[in-house]
Amino acid sequence: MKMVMPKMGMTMEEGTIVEWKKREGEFVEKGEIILEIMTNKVNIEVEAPASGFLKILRGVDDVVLVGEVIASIEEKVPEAVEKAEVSRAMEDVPWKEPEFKPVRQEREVVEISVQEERTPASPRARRVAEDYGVLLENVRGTGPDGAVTEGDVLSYVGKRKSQEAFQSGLPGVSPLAERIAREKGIDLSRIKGTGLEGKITKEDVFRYMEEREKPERPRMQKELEPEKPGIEKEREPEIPRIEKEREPEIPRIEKEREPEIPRIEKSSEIELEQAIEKPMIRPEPVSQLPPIQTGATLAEPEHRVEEPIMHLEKPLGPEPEGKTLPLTGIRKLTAERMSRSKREAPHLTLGMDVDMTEASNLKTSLAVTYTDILVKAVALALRTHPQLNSTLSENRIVLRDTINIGIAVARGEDLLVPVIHRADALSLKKISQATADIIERTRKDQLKDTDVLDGTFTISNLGMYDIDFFTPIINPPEAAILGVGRITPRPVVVRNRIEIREIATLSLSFDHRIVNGVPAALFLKEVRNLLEHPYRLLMEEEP
Amino acid sequence: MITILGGGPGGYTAAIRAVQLGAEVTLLEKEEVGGTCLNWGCVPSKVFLKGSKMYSQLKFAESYGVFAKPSPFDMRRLGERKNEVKQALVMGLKNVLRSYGVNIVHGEGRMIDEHTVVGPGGNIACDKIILATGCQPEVPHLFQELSVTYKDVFQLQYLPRSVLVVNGGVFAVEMAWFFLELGSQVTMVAENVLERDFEDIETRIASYLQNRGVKFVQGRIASIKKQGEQKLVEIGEEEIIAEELIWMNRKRVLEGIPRKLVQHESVAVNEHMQTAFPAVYAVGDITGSYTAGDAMAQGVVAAEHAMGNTTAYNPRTVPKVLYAPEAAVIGLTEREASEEYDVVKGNFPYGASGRAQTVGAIRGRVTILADKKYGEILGAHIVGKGASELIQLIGFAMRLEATIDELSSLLCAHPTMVEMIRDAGLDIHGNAFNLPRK
Ligand SMILES: Cc1cc2nc3c(=O)[nH]c(=O)nc-3n(C[C@H](O)[C@H](O)[C@H](O)COP(=O)(O)OP(=O)(O)OC[C@H]3O[C@@H](n4cnc5c(N)ncnc54)[C@H](O)[C@@H]3O)c2cc1C
Repeated sequence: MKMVMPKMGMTMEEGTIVEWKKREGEFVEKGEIILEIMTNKVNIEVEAPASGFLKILRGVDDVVLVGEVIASIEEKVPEAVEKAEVSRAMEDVPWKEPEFKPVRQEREVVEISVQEERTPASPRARRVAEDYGVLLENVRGTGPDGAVTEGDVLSYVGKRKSQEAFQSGLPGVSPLAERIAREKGIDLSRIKGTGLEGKITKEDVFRYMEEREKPERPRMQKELEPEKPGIEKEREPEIPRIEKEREPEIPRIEKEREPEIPRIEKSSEIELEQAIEKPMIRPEPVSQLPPIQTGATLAEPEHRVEEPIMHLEKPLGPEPEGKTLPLTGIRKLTAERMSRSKREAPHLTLGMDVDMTEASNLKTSLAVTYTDILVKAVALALRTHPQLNSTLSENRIVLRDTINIGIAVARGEDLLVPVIHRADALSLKKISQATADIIERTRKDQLKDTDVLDGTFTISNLGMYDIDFFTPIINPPEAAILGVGRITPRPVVVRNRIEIREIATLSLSFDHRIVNGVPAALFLKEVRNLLEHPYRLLMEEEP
Repeated sequence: MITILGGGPGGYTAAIRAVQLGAEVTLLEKEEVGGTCLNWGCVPSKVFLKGSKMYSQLKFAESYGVFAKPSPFDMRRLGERKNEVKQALVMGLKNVLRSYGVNIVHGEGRMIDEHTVVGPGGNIACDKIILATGCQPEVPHLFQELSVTYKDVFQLQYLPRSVLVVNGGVFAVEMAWFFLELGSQVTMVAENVLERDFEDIETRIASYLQNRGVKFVQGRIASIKKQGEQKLVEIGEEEIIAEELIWMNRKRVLEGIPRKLVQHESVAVNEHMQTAFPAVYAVGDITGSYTAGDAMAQGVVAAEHAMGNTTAYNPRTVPKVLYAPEAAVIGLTEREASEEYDVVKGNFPYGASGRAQTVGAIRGRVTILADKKYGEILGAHIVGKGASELIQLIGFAMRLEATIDELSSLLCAHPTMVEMIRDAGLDIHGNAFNLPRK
């Protein structure tokens, strides 16, 4: 009777053979557990469909489609088995199998031949070896002519004991490694641990991820593929993750999961068009940047991108004509994130004029930049408006406990958002140092992954490109983004008189699922207040 | 067959572990097993600190209703007590080594090639060699006559009323503290008060010393002159007068080791403690570490690797302890941690602990550093009573790769010092039970 890979659930398409609980040729009873398979990371025990002798057709670790034959249950002892038994009998003396008469015959012969070339050993050594079930050949003899002594056996046993102490059979995993694996969506059963008794450590997880990232691993890719649909949600593509020493700026998480999308497909640029839903202005550089040299940097992304990163749905309709640019690297990631943001988060944008005259004075007297002042003002305002510093996570609004301000910075064609962590706790001077440093490193391509992680709010300044007003797109999973327009002298009414003041227009886009209009407006007002009375930004408080 | 050169904490630990794994071991020791640690370092200094502490505590006893007048301090009696402890421990160690069948050879050894050591009885052929020759006191030749080393201090027959401690580091600070507690005038000449591992608490410790009256001087000693019973020491612009000059400097013992293995006056090793010769290992002070804890950890690694295991040495999880004024550190310093991680920090002041209050040890603080993202415990520093034991718990959690939240889920008896560890962990989220709401 043939035995097939059973379907153990609605979604199961294939299963992996984890362990045969019965040996080839062994007699199995109907209903007895004979096999363990794994599907969707769950191990399932499988019973024998009939009684008879087991003939195994697919081995451990084989991935088998549902319905394919994996074994058969025969009425007679399968032929090939008899030979196999002989060799097993040699390694594994105590095992007995009364069913097979002829086999037993041969086994005795084998035993005698072992006896003949026996290892020299003292009688006491033999006794002790028998007590402990030790094979004398494995013990190094230190007695006369290399004979094994009682002491040799005991120290061999001691060695084995101390090495095998408390071996539980189930290698553990450290809590830290488990936490990291869970977040990265890694299947721990694929990792070999190097800790005590094979325990999986943090390093093991990282090493596994690193290895997995290397290209040319078709098998891996196949394994990972089925995860795609389920994982999409929790993947939470954060800010591009930039690896410190590994290949720079291929966002790690994404790359692991979806490695085999064809590279530069002709349709890529349409995907981009679709993805960004028509010319939204995409957040661009901050004030300190020199104009972008498009020509020189255009080629740059190409060499970085060994593998495609994002999966964008194929658009319908005819292909448009025109010159095409490959959608790769960070551009591709930006496209995905922006489209996701617009798709998922109902955007609402509020605009407000702010008088930057005082801020401009402060800028000159302290030799800081507008960006520094903005970061500080926004960070302080977020303290009293935590809703704007939050994340929507599975129908819950998570108020983030730190205030980490991202600054949209252009590097060549790319847009990156390095983060000033805990900006609210930093003095203006510290912020100024931090932004100068991080912008410099962004431009030099020296960002570390920690520099772009954990942003809670983004500021995008297009003032130096003469943009007065724009509607920025929220940087997911954040709740809001502040756009900053050009600062220009404008006539305004101050105490019933017309004065010339330095005015800029702020635009706050926010996720309407998280924040309503009024609190957002209040927040924006608070930001304006701080910017118009910027000396409040200088008041240091004790952390 | 494994031959081990040197019977200090590095060497004897390696010997025992190797036998446990089935090796036959010969251990060469030219002086006394136990090495610096048992004979001239950890053990004598801790007995001394116990004596000075009891003496200085008589003052505080009054506030608990105990009145006792201290008699003049008897250094000789303390020296005897130290010898008793040392002998008990050396004898115990010898018994342990003997029980394991370690072949102890008394005499100096020298390694001549990868598989040969020359001992007092001739060549010893072996599969693997573990070098563990440790450190020795060092005093510039010029100053030897008018100086004493840390070894000599443990044999002093009288209590000097003023000392100059030359060089910094944990053991020098302990030495300074010993004399402070006995009421002597103490000056320290050192570039740094403590080793780099202690950088987060160095200023705090320095201020403790200063408040107790230690004078810090920087610069090189230019001359030492005799002036009656005292010595007049010239350091830069300053002239210091002290009855004894104590040199804490230590030099690695590299005589019996091929030059090829030596780099920058220490033996270069990989994470398995292997030297440039794969069959030769080095452990302890000669590899550049400076505590017995490291020497022992390395000894285990070397023995296990020599016996075919893949063990590696991880210095991050070996705690470092200053016994007096009591403090301890483990893992990364704040600076090191912030270079690699987004660091969050939890603090707990001793004053807020019920146990610390009951034993009158309200000065101190527990600080734990963790990675914000995954909650990895990155390091910790503790200043205050019990630090030397408290730090071990954090080390254990780090070794198990427990997260900070798991560490803070500790259930404690009350009142105990360990509660401070839990609360420092909880403080990261502002949830400590014994601190006001943040
Ligand atoms: C005053 C003082 C206090 C200290 N307190 C502490 C403390 O509280 N905690 C702590 O962790 N550490 C302490 N230390 C440091 C600690 O003593 C050393 O780190 C530790 O002993 C190093 O161990 P080791 O095995 O490397 O070398 P050692 O302990 O120095 O042992 C080396 C041994 O090798 C022998 N030897 C050398 N060359 C040869 C040769 N060619 N042939 C045969 N034998 C040889 C020596 O005789 C010696 O016994 C202290 C040190 C000092 C000086």
